[in-house]
Amino acid sequence: MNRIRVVHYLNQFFAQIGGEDKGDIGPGVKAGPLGPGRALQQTLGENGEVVATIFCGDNYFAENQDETIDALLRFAVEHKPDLLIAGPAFESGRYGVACGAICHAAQQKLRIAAVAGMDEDNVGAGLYRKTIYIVNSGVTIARMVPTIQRMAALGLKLAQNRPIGKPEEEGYLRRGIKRNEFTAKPPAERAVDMLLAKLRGAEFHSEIAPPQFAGSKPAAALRELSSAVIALVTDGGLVPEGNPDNIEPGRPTRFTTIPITGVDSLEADKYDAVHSGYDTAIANRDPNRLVPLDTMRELEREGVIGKLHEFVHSTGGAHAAVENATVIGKDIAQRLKAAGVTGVILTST
Amino acid sequence: MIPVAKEVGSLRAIPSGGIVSPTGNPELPPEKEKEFRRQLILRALQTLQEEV
Amino acid sequence: MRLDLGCIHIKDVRFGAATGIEDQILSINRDELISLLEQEPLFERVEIELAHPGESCRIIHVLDVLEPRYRMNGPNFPGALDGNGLVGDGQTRALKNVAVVETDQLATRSRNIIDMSGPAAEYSPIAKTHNVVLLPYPKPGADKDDYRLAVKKAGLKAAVYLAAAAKDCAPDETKIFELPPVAFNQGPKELPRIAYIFPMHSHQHPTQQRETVFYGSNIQGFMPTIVHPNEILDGALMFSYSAFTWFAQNHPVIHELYRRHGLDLWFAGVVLTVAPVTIAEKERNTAIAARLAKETLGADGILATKIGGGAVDTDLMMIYTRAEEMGMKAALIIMERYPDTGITFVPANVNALVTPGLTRDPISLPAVERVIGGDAIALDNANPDNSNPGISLTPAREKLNLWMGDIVGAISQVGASRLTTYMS
Repeated sequence: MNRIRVVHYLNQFFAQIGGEDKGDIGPGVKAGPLGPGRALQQTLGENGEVVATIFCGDNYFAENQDETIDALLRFAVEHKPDLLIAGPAFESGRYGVACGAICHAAQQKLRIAAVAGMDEDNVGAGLYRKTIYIVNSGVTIARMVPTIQRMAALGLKLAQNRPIGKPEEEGYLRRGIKRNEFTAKPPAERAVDMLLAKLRGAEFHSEIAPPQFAGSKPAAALRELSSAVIALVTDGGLVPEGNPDNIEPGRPTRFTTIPITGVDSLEADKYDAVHSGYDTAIANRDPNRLVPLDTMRELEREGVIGKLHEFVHSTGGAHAAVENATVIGKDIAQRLKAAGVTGVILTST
Repeated sequence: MIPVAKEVGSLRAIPSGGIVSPTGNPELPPEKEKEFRRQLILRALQTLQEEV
Repeated sequence: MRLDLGCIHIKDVRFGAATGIEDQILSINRDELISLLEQEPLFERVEIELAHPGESCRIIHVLDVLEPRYRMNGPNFPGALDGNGLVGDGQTRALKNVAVVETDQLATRSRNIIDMSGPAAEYSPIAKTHNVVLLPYPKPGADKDDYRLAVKKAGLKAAVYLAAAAKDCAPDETKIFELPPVAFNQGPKELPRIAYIFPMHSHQHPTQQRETVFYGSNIQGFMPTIVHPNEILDGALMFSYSAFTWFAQNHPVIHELYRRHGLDLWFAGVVLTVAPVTIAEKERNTAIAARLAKETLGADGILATKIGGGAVDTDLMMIYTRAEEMGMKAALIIMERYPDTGITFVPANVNALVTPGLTRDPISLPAVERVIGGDAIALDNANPDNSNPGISLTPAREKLNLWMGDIVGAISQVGASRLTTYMS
């Protein structure tokens, strides 16, 4: 097997350039290992070679992320890496984010294996644990060597295309990605076992956990409807004619904000419905069937509600990734709250 | 899709006019459709005033 | 009713002067079998290749897989191949360690793949059989759907032709499958009565008019009914899609229930049904199926599996819920598809799920020396998600980045696999 070529990313401190005061240095490269890279080289032994160390000041990276990543990747590419190791960053947040970002970019753009190291509560872990392997370093620098060893072992497996074991075995942070594993008993047998246990009243464990949706606590009931500010929101993909914000018909990543001050009813030629998950013809002929603006205006005039909020927030709900839907929902909720809205009617297709 | 809504924790959910016309019913004549929509919205507003 | 399955354990398969079995070696008169299959008017010509376990060989565009079977007193695959008749009784010869593998020469986006060695082979029983691979080439202008039905029929013909070679052989092993009529099928009170509810097809992919799924029927509008488990094992059922018929002939749940019948359970019987496409029909069918298990089969507990896509998860959850409302206990086998959640819909009351594996688990298959069934696979090798609509053709001989669900037989919805899942 060929020796795996490894490039190691470090911040200004671990690259032995300086401390906090040197956080503003820009991206650089040096041949061979630096600082903890030496422990990395020792661990790799004959299996790998730390051919270069790339580094950057934590502040500089944070303030110029995109250009810095480009520059660092360019440095890395010159050394023909098979694997990028970043950190470990322990609990240093800026460093952790940088490690995550550079590994993510190396995976996407250079298509090489990448492993970062940091504490599980590091901000960088929250951002990147799903897309890259992050070895849990804990918070103390005293764990440098065992962490480096785990990072090297995992990195070699990835670079050599060998199967990766479970988080507990390899030491990486749980990514929330399901994998298969061999087991002796076929599913038919396990299903019969499970059913018989159930019939006996014995303990058994379902093999598929219900998907976890980070549920929200429902808000308290509205007190005074006649003074409440009510907003209209939809996941049916209502857009102004021509879809100026380019809302995606499927897998949405954003929402649009439609002003409705002075609008008493949604007219067919001024609004569209854009959504891959249902036939939008009926809603297009009368958009009030999707977002009940005409009714809400009536109720506002009659004093049933205090006020109709001046914006309709809209996105499409087809195949929405749970994460994106959550981000969109939170963003809309924050805006509504800031505007004094106390109740929402969400129309869903 | 009320079962799905309840699954993910959205407890204040009432049946709509259907997937293709949540607050409408194209089978009804326009005046009756508006009345249908009004009743639906009033029910929704009522739900907002209930504890869950 | 009793079925005697006389199994011949085949050690090798070769082309030879005459079709026959000697010393557990199957010889195939290639030209004779080709002539038989070329009788199909939609075929321009047919080729047959052999793939053996351990070879650096990849079979692509797999349409269906069958175990060679021959009913000593007929009919074979009634309604689909032979004329109408019944199966599940008498004597049937089975060639073990041999499979007929049909390839679809009009497939554009099929990723169904069998590797006879390497990492994929560890997951699939069809990597361990000597595979007789059929390559039927369509006449120009042949209708795609008609051609596919013809390929499936060709598979049946080949399966019967090969197993007929065992007609005069004494079986190496005879497996007995016997279950009396429900009214006489009383077991001891201590043994729980278990029924299997089996939606055999989902009409989210409607069957063709002339398609033969159950006893030759296209099963459109199929209502839940009781069948004898032997009928599924003995050629009454051909899967339309999403599963390979070999797994009906060797149905893991039926085998398991038979195996334990009289030991720790009493096999109450099988309810056969389909998954329709509207909520109202799903509600109706699942309620009727659960009722049949309870009031006709007298089941204490039911197992259910599915064939088809995510829409059928709903039917299974309904079967589960209805069954438990009626006082039975239920457990389901449900294939997982998504690496983040497995499946998307698990109602709060459902607490007994078994997974046969996760389909979208990436796997890298090495380059191979030989490919049967075509030259290229429609695959974005850099992104096995294949969410990019502009997929190019990747030479099938190369290293491929696929999902485990693409490997034929690796993850079967009816509960064959040696897999479970974990959260990484």
